[in-house]
Amino acid sequence: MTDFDYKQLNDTLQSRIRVAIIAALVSVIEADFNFLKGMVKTTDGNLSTHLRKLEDAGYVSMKKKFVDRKPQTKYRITEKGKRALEEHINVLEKLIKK
Amino acid sequence: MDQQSAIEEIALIKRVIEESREFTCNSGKEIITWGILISIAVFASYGAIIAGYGHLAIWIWVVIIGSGWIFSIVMGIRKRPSMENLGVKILSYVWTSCGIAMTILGFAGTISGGLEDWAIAPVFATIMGVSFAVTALVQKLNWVLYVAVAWWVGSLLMFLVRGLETMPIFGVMIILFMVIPGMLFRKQWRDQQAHPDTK
Repeated sequence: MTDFDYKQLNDTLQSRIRVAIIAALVSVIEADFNFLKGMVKTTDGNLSTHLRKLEDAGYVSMKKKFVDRKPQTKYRITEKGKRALEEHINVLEKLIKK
Repeated sequence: MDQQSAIEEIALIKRVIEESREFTCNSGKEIITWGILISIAVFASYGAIIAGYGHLAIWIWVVIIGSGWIFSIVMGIRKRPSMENLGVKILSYVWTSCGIAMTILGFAGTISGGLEDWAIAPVFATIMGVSFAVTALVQKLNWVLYVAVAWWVGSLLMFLVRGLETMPIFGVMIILFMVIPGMLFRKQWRDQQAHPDTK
């Protein structure tokens, strides 16, 4: 293939599931675990692992609260996460244009 | 990563963004509950007036509308939507605003004498049309726009009728154009919960 520099690709967003999570969160204000599970179509364990990686990278923020004595976890994309997705799309577009 | 993978990933990003943007959480539960409560209030107060107990009509409305607001407040605290996007926020604001507007017009409007009793139903019908038109736009459902038009046509009809007869007309309209659409929203919401990737 070409002289495309693969180092430009974001390490955290190498996984399709993480890309899908970030894409699902970019157009909502906040979402819970079940919504994301439905969007990315994966298991609870797998989604938890990927969400933790996105949190560690600072792309997603998580807030836990109790509603009617039941725990509810809401996720939001951070500014860093939005920028990362934008840059990732730019890199993908560059690769397509090669 | 090769070009084909990049094309697939861009398509995936686009699809997920579109789906989550268009996802709405209109469970229909509040629309059905409010529809049933209002239709009970309409027929009960109409019956009270016909039977010569017109002075009780205001108390029927106070109790029923008060119960409706308590239900909505409890639902708002207990049931948080699984996600919140602009569409969900718009629907919540529009329905709450229209509910507040109708409560003010219904009570303050009539008690102050600014709005004649018979005019409540056509005024409410006009506001209901607005709520359904915005819902049609946000949820991209053409049939809901027809419901909005039905409300406006009904409103015009009731303005022409100009009398106590507006009450049963309004009661029937509530069942046809609020309770039944609410049930359809509920069905759609259940389908969406079962398959979140379908709109």
